[in-house]
Amino acid sequence: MTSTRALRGLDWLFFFVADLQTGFGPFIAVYLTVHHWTQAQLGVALGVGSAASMVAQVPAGFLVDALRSKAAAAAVALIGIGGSAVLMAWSPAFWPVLLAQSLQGFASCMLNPALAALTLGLVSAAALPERLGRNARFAAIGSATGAALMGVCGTYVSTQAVFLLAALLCVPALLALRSLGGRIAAPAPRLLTEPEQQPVREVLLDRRLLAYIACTLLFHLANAAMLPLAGVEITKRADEHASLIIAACILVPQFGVALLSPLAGRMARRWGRRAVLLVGFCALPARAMLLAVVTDPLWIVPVQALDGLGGAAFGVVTPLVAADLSVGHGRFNLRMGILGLSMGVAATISNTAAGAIATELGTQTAFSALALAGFCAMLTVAFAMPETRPARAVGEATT
Amino acid sequence: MVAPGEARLLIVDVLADSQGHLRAVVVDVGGFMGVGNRKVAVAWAALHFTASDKGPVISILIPADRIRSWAEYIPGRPVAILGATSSTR
Repeated sequence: MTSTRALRGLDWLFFFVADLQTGFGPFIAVYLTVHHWTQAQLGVALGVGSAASMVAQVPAGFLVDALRSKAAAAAVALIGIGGSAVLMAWSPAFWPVLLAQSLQGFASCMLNPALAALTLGLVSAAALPERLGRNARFAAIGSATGAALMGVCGTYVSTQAVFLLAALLCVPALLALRSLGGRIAAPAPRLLTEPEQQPVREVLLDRRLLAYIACTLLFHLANAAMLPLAGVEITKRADEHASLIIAACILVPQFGVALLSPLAGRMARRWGRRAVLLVGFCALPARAMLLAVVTDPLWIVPVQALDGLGGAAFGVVTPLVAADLSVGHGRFNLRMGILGLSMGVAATISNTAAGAIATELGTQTAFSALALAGFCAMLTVAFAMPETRPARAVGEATT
Repeated sequence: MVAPGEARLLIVDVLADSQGHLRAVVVDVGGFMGVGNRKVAVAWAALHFTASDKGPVISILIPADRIRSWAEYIPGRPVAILGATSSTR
């Protein structure tokens, strides 16, 4: 059985990785504008970054599957992210920034599946749902801490310092990775390194994966644009403290995720993955409809708290479904990559479409459209998503 | 760049008319961690320039909440300029 030391290490690993990943994205625009970048150049740099983090998803998943040591993959990815942060701080010129953005995109795509794969290597199938819940809890606490830390650093020190801080945070993350010890080098469980891995074509044609891809697409189509749209409304309507209210809208759902994720993991083991998804996905259309009618900026905060429900369900169930489908077939990271790509594509469409609808037809209409997408997401879980919990895990759960 | 009751604003663009007169600056206002910030065009005439030890300070004599709630600046669209004395384009 895995030592508590290794499991503690995993807690800290998720904490620090979320910490450094949340921090630096939002500051890139401010940092480069301060360094006299034009809006057009900025658009190119941010576009390259988000394109890299989408295009790289599937190849990175494929690569992590092929690598023997998932810990080494995670270490390389962490060093890559740290390196790109240092490069950003050191040289805010066009090509270095483009290089840093692509490096960061690719490294993030490797890191997330590698961390999930490490988790699978440390715990038994029966303990997996609860462990994924714990991972999501520590990631959420890390995100909130990162946002606060980097926000303070960016406001009171400098935007350049934010990138150096992000690079610095790679060190405790690497130490946490090291504390997992040599256990991962030991024969990993079957679903990670199945001798003959399932052909890629079969992975892609798996009806259960296709159904979950549909759920993922619709979830993010409804979800991604909600916070940005609500943020703009708060800026317009709040007389003062608008930034504080927006900060609350970002942080409160993270606390929700931290609180609810372990529960989502337990529910997923007892009642199955679908039950958790259904509860989480119900929060989507409800939140969008409430955002369409709520006018007081302060009331947007409790509505945003519903995001914690969806976030917890989606964050725990996604690696769990990928693991369920990989039992006896391998290719866990490829599945994670495919789902990551779906998230990125849907989030991009969501932001573009909702932004356009808000400009042309008003914010209320945009929220209504997001509510419709959320409702479709809910129906997809209810009618198209099969239960993926393996029969074996059910038996183990009762002992 | 400073507006009353608001922390620093960032000028992201300068708008000129066909005669070469500066008409407005586009400022990025509000938001937290890249969420909820808006771009608004403020009339050049509404800017005030003063000197300080660290160089020129640009300030706007328009209340911050008016700036935040003004129509969004979208490139390629007719611009509504906040604080313009003459007609807006």
